[in-house]
Amino acid sequence: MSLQEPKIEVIGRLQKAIEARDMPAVLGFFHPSVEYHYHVGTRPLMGIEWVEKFFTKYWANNSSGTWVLLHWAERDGRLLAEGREEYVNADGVKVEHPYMGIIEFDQEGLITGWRDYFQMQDPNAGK
Amino acid sequence: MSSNFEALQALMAASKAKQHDAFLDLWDDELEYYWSVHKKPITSKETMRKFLRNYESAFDQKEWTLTNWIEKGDLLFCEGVEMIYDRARDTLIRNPYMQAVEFRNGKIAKMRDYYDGSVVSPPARQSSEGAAA
Repeated sequence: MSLQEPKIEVIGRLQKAIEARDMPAVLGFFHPSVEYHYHVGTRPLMGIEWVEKFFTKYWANNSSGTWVLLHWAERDGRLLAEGREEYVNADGVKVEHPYMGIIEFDQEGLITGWRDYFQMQDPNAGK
Repeated sequence: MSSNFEALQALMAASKAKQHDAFLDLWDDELEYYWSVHKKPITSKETMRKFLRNYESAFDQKEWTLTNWIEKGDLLFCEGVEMIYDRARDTLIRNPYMQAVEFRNGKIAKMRDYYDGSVVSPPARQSSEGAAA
């Protein structure tokens, strides 16, 4: 991972790893002590083990996931983005989340912080 | 500091001071304000003025703080937090948010707010009118 690589390109590679459901590749983007707020307002995931549990459950319960970035800007190891996420939950309900998020990287290019802001629309959230 | 960022700071100051005319002057006449991206946007200054009155009847914005922001051309990406006093519930609410602000000729043309709507909900309605503006 080149430190000069634009963060949007790093996230592009992460998106492909998520789409392929390649857990080792996905976890390779995160710092072991990452603080991941997949929904600001819900308890954050603290540490990479918790992130792995989250993706395991997310992939088991949801299908047809789409993550689209519409606008973004980056500076000083931070990427701020606006986009939308869509998926079909375990009950077959299509969920759409327009969102904004901020992803923070360390000097090694690993994700140390991630906060996504949106209004939760999934009736299965928290189950 | 860019003129667009200065305009946003002026908007924040007008919002906190409840100066509606000053607040509205910072917007382009052809505006879109998504106080919730799941609702229809506000598209006129007349409707925006009503929104401000309704909002302030339910809430008193005590603080509006930016924590992170980046500009890219005429688009400003913001992360912040506002402290809102809920008049009916006599409660101070912390509302972290992100916001996309698009400018046109130095005026705010579009604003989209993203936050957890369950945090801020007016007492008279199920839908939320919590917003950073």
